[in-house]
Amino acid sequence: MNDTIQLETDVLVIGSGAAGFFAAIRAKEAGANVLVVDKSQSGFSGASAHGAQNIRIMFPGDNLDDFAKESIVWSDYLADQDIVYAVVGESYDRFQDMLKWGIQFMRDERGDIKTLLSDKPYTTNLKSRYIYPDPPSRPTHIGKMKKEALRLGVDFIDRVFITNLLTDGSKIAGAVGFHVRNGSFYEISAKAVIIATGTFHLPPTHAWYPGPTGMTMALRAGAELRNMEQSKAFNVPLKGQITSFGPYYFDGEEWWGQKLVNAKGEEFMEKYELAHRLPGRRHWGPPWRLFIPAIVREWREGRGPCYHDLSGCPNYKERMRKYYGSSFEQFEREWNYLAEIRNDVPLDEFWKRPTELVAGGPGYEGKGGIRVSLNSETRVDGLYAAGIATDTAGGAGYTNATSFTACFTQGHRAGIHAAEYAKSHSRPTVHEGEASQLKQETYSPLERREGFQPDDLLVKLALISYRYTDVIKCEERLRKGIEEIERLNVETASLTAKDLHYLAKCHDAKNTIKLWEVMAKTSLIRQESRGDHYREDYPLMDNDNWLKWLIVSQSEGELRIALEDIPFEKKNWKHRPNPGKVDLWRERNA
Amino acid sequence: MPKINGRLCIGCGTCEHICPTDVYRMSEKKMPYVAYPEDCIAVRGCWLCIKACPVEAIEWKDHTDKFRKEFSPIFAWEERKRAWGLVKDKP
Repeated sequence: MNDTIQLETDVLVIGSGAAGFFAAIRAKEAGANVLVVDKSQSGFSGASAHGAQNIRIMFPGDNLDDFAKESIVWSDYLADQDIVYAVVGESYDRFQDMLKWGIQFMRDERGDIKTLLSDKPYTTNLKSRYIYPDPPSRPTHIGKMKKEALRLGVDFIDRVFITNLLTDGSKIAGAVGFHVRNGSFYEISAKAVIIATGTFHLPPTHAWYPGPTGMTMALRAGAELRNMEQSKAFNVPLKGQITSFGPYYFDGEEWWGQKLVNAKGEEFMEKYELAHRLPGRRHWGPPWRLFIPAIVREWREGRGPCYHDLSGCPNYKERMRKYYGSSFEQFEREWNYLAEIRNDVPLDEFWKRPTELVAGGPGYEGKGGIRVSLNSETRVDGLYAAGIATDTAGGAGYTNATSFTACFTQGHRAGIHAAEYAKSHSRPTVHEGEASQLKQETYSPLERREGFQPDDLLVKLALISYRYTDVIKCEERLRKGIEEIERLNVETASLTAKDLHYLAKCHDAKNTIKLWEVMAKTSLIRQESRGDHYREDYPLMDNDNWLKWLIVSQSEGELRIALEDIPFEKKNWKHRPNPGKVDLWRERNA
Repeated sequence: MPKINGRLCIGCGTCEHICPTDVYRMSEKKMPYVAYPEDCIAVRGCWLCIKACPVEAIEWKDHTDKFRKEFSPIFAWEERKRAWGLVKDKP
């Protein structure tokens, strides 16, 4: 039997991305003992380490209402407006924190922080500012956060995979997990726990989208999930390409000359009213989600495939060099290196021919996750969540920032409030029976000689998702998909692991499948199209009947999905949708 | 998948220490090896080990990508096209 290591802390932070570090630093500054546990290596792991290319910040003098409106309208009014205002309003202060910690951002020739226009101003012609860590898409900024946390005396344990939360009545009591290399069982008693585990993805060990376990363990402990039908947003990668290149590359000011064309060479997005090009600028204004139904429609009407055509942009490489600045050489080297391996085109050849648009990549973080209050509290006393493990700024999701901004502000609030909670509450009791039962469950796949391999179940899940439950949804396919996912759920009881690495994968697989079940079931209930949820059988956004949140909870192993009116009656909520039904991609001259 | 050049590797363990998907292990001789190639995400733009290696011993000489093809966007798109009735199944 594996040994058990018992630890005690005031505040336990699970996950060490931007949200986790902000939470840990703030809780420590507030005087709490803080322990950060990461299933990987803190300072190198998580979505923050790889994905944070741009960060939306509201600078002094910018208009808070405009900034907030952008996110709220973008979410099709699903966003919790209190949280959006906090996230946007506090973003500059968090940016200052990062400067204090020595994190570098790209600067212009004069040495000022380089800000760029939003690539998706939607509601206004707002100069929505993005700032860029320097170097971009590297874990340098996360490393600096870790350095600050270490300086303050935050404790870290790496390579420990937390599998379950411990509860004491209605309060949180800590968490348990195992070391993915030496197999020790960790039983951590904590007065407050902050989940900062990121969102989930297929396959789950994908480092950008690190873990489904945070959401499922919160659900099991009594927390709620919100907007799960919105959990995956889908972009439009280019066929055969390495990166999911946006079909609307631009350098912030100027459109670069690329076109989205159908098989007949027509610019098909032109005909949709909401797919506007903004005044004075020639890049696309619509959200990603409008592209996919449009591409599918082109196919249905005999005009597929669709292409990304760069022939109108002869100096693309020069523009890219300018856009990427000092990191261009590296970008080109990586591109060509991968192109060679994958038998793909080098960068020099890339824009010389049209590239097919693939409607729906693997899916990135959407708007679903753990429901939290303005102070990042869940429904369970002492349990907090921050970052993209939550429903990202109350449902504003990816837009509100590129999620990163929400990680700072929610992490900040979670840290402060968790420390305060820990100070005013006595240590909860860890029930021995609960911990030892969880220990047995945690290691059970190792003891099973025969059963399902985690990757095999995930491949099955991927096929179910592509065929029945994602991107373009409809009742018939969703019902079929739910049936198949439920069958898969049964198979997770027979997962087998040949070693500790695979044991971690078993837990990720089981929890990913659970969340896919939640996504499919909530998608079936929402009989309209809104946000990143698109129903082919209900293509209109229905503001008369569906200004509601879908709230998921679990009791005695059974999922419960409840509808809750979005509280537009709140006095401080400034943004309300017009009543009636909205055709998201109505034709311009129809 | 990554390949460690055994002649250059000094066995410092940096790659094993930082790998976000935990694919490396140290051998009994204290040299790193790729134990779980199917979980390597370098082809998706990770590159951490390659960049961090102090002696540039990690390369992409082995042109096999162990990542399951079912998780690729192209595979997903082909499946979705069939499911949504955009193309007919092959007879």
